[in-house]
Amino acid sequence: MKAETTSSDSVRIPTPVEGIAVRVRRYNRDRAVIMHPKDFARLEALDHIHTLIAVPDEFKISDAARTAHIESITPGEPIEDRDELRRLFP
Amino acid sequence: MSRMVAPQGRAYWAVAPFAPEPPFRLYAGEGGPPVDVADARRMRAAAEKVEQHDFTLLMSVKPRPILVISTVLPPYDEVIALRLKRLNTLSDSAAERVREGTDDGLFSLPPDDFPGLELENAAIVTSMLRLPLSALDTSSELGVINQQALVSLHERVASSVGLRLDLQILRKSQELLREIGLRMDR
Repeated sequence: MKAETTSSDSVRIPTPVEGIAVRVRRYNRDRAVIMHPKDFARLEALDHIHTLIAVPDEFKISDAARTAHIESITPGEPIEDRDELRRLFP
Repeated sequence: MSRMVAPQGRAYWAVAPFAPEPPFRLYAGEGGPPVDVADARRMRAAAEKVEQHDFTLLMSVKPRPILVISTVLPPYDEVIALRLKRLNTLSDSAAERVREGTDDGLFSLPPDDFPGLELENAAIVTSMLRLPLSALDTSSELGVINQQALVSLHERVASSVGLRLDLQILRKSQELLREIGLRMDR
């Protein structure tokens, strides 16, 4: 968004232009900002989005992912034969 | 051996345990068979009889490739990691969904980024493991995902376990807004 500056001494609210915010300044500080109603609506929408992003999306698990998960947490037949273990870990 | 300090986003072979389930097989010393305990209630009852109630559990482990998704966590040098799934064991359509990024539960690991894995793999988003760094074979790295992909994977993992990050997001946003306000005051 572009911004323009005007002195508060001379302010008569200018006709706002979409996409341009007018900063009303006095003593080197912003005192007010004039903006087009559509821009204000955008800011309000951003504020709303801000509350929405804090809510996590629903996590949908597919059949493939569910099967992969189950397989990954299910142990197979363990190797417990002493000779086989000695061969594997000489 | 030099201490591994930045394993995040990298894949290694690791000794990964399976979560213990009943019957719990307790080690009973050399030469004797393990003692099977049928359920958690009996374990609790035993714990109430003695002050010191630690046991040695015989549990299944499997050396397998994993993807580390955390930094090294103090104070015990542990990492959070995900198990992997080979795509060639999925149907063609399921594998394609993984590659497209439309399967929430399986996160594609492009073969070009993981030359150490023999086949194309995906990280199983729901399969979080907490492992000591010493359970990883860090002598050879299997591959690494880029930072953007890692952030995306973190988001999926948080979503998969229903972690509410509202307050963190709001706090960060408020900090940013405050910073913007301070800049405007200057």
